[in-house]
Amino acid sequence: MTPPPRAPFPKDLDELAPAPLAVKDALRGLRRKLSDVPPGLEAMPSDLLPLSPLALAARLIRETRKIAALGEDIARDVLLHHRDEARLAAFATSGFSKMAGKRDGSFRHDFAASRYAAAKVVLVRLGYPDAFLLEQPIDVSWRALWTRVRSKPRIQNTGDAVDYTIIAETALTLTKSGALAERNTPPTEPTLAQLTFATLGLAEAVLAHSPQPALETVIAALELSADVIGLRKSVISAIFSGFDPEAQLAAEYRLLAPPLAES
Amino acid sequence: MRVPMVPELNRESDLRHRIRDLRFFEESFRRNVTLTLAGESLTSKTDQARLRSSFLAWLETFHETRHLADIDRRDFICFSAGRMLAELVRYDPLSVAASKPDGEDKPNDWPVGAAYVSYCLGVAMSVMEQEFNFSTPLPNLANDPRVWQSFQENVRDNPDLAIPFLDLLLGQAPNWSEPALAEQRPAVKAKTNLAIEN
Repeated sequence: MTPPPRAPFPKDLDELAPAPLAVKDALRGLRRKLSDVPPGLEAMPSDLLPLSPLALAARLIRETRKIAALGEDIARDVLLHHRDEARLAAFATSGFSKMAGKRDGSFRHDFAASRYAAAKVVLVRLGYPDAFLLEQPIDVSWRALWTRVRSKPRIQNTGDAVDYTIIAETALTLTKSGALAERNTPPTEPTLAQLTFATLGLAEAVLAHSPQPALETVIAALELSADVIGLRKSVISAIFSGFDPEAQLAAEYRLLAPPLAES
Repeated sequence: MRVPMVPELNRESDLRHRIRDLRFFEESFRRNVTLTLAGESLTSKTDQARLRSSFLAWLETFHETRHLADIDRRDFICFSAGRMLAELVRYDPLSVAASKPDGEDKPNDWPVGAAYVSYCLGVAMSVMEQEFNFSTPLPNLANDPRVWQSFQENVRDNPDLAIPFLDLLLGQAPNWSEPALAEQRPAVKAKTNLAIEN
């Protein structure tokens, strides 16, 4: 009995959408593995040992590294047509606090791409430039948040001009997404994922007070937010391990965002 | 005791809101340090992380107590300035060193403390001038070395004692026993009791 012919495309386009992100994340993983190779091996002059397995391995690593770098460049520049600066510039307008009137597709792409680029800036500022960050889990978080936000009408009775609650919900969802590999931290210290995504939330809340922030304003907000979250590690740790972290984190954003916004 | 920032702070419109802006706070604090230590033969360095920590700690207590502004606005301005001074003393972001060898100039006994006090005093005086249109003259004790020595010794043990010290300089009734508790301030208690009696 012959199996039924396969459909040319998945029934749900959502299944197809993360494919480029999966390719990019796989290439990032490959590059990271290659960076763990002892530096002496890569630098070994293969001409001196033309037939040795070590020389072959050294050449293979060099070539694979080039292919991986090229592949990631292609994925970034050809598949997504976005460079880091453009991705960062979209950060302020691509959060769920600014979702009104946006089409799903572009909103989803901007959300994942800009949060990935912004998290890289934050990780550098926090002192972890080599932390391994994945983009696909951010995209998956978008789906979860989108479903939740659409299914429940948001009633705001706090009198805030900015919806700090949805920003906090986004930060908590991204923290749990697995986008950032956890490191061993003492129980009293916040994890790197908590610090990073709490910072993204604070930056989004800060930028919500600026009408049309320029790229420099976005970067300044990310860096200042990283500094401030870094100074409030004990508070962040208590929020994430405490009762109702969403409300607590929203309160923290409500307290900190206006004083950090450019006046 | 000099409060050199008052004219500049007075030119800021809506200072009571501006002071809650981290960038403005940092900028005006550094400017005050420059003005306060001018002619002192001292070099200064401000630790940004400590300065920001003091601001964030102050901001938290400001929001916790701001409802008391409805009871006595003037007293709340003095209390908020006192809290700012307490956090500056606690986090101690400023360090100074003599720029000339010992003996050439006699520096202020506690230049760091003078810079903290003159900043918070300047903010409180300017906000009160903008809010109530009157300027508060500094009392004579502001120049009494014994008061400064007492202040330095007390805040070393408990930085919150900076609050009643600033109250003295601003002519407000101090609360030495529970300085950090806004509800226990004499002005707040007096107005609350009055409201209950009525």
